[in-house]
Amino acid sequence: MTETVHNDYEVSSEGAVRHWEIPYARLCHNTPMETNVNQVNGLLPGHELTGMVLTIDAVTSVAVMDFTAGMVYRNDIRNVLTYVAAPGGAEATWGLVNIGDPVYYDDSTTMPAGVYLSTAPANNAGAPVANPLYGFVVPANDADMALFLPAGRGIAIAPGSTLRLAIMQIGAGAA
Amino acid sequence: MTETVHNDYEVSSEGAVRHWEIPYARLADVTPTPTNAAQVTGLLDGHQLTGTILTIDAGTSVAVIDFTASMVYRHDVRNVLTYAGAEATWGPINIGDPVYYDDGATMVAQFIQLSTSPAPTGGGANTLFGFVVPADPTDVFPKGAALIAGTYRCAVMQLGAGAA
Repeated sequence: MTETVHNDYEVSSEGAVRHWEIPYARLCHNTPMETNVNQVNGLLPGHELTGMVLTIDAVTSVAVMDFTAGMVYRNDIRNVLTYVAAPGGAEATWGLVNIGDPVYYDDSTTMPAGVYLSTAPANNAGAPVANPLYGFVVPANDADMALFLPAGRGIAIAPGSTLRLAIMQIGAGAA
Repeated sequence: MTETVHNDYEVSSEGAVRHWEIPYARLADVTPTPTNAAQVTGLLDGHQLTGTILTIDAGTSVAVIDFTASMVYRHDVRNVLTYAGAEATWGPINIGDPVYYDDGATMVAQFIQLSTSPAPTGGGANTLFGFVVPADPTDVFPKGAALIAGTYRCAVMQLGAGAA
């Protein structure tokens, strides 16, 4: 093979907003629902592509997802930090969630139905598998900002808590 | 809890430019200056959200920060590579080099936020802020040299919300 100028190299349009179709079969949660986040399966645990499901086509089993870096959506966040070190381990520790904290796509079996994001960098697979960084907590508005300061939000002891927070997503900027 | 369609899920407008308000109390430098780089405090050292300060509201102690991935701003970059308490080694800065938000004490004392050191003085990890790019065809590289400490105003393509 020789190095050539490709005449078919541009697939997306220009502009940094990126909505893209992904087949259900390549999604971590393969019964996707609009307005919920999802993760595209990939070879390297902890480095998967993630984004927001905008709409679904149940006939073709395809989801249209927003992979735009920097978009802010409200998402449900579990404030778990670590799990018991056993396959399917229970939640072990929790923390207050504050502006700037990283949020991960967490496929742990203990995550409540409809909740895909947490503050845990690794899941509860026993030999922990890294969770991909999904984004960062930001204030949704001035009133929301006031709820975070100074210490953060949530319950830092058992049973923990699930919070609906504004998240600035990494999307296609993920590494 | 059941999986539902959320009726209040979109917070930002569409478009990939992202200017967002952050309270001073959650910034690494709690006395932010417009046009300087900023880091939002987070749980995981080396993986914080970073951007460039556009303006501040001293009345409400809130900074408006540009978190747009791939925006290019000129920033002062310290060419330190490693520390041994004080700065230990330095290197020339070239196009493509990674630049970190460095909140070590030696940087704070100089009022500079960015360096080429992946770790601050005192240990830990610095967050990758972006990459050096040419500002225009006349922008000369490399800037600085090995063994010589210096601070250089460089065009930096920021990761912003595309941070890793």
